[in-house]
Amino acid sequence: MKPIDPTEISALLDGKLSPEDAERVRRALAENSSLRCEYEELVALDVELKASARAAMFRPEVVLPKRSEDIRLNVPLLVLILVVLRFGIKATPLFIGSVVEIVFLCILLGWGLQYLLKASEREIQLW
Amino acid sequence: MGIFSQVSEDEFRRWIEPLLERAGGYAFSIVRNREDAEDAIQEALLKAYLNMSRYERSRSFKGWWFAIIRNCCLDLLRKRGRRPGTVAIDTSELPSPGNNARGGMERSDELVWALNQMTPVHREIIELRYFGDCSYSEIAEALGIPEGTVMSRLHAARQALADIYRKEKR
Repeated sequence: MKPIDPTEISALLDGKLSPEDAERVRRALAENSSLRCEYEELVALDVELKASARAAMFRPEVVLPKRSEDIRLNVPLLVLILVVLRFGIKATPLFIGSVVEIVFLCILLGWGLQYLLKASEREIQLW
Repeated sequence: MGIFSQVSEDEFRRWIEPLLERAGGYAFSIVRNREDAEDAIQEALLKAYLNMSRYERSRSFKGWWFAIIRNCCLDLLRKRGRRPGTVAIDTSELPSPGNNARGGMERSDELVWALNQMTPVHREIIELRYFGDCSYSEIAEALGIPEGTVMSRLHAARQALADIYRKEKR
């Protein structure tokens, strides 16, 4: 018969052994009084710790975190509604077209400036 | 922030809710004071919420969150200039007489005293197993050790606790 590993006594207590191993450990406990004594001591400790843990349990008064609404996403929609209300539905495509053009020009201007700055850096390096 | 790329807010709440009571007991076992335990759990909730993108579904959520609780409790004790194991015990919060398996308040005091005599490594595994009601795999996740090590360390911790009791009786 396979000898008993001391950790198997704890594993038996926690129900972590396979049925075959549990049976083997139980047989060893029945045959060996010092092993049985050790097991009984651990069982008593287990009962006491479980009772103490149950008594310590409480539901803490905590606030579960919540994701805040990102208002930035609503800004374009709000602007669009204001434009429709102020200038009417017919003016809206014109407004959107203008905004797109402005954004496009800004990007173009940004790239242009970046290119010019890099060009001047290159010139400085050449000098 | 991309917080909930893997886990939704509702899912987070569903996972946290059933764990709260055990988390309370677990935090209490470390800080030994109900108010501090609540503070630590609130902090751990926020940390878990902000770091959900780091959590992998294949891992145990309870083990992952209880590791955060443990760190928050230890941080709190450090801030207050206390060490786990040397914390003052709030006796009004201890298990009531009669709840105890071997009977009475004295026995509870004895258990708390015995737990405080243990090494931090042994005490942390006992706290996770009993006060946190964690399975072997959850303990393995919380401590970052293999399940086999959990089994042997838990046995060693139980034996150490039994030894402390035995020495006290002499």
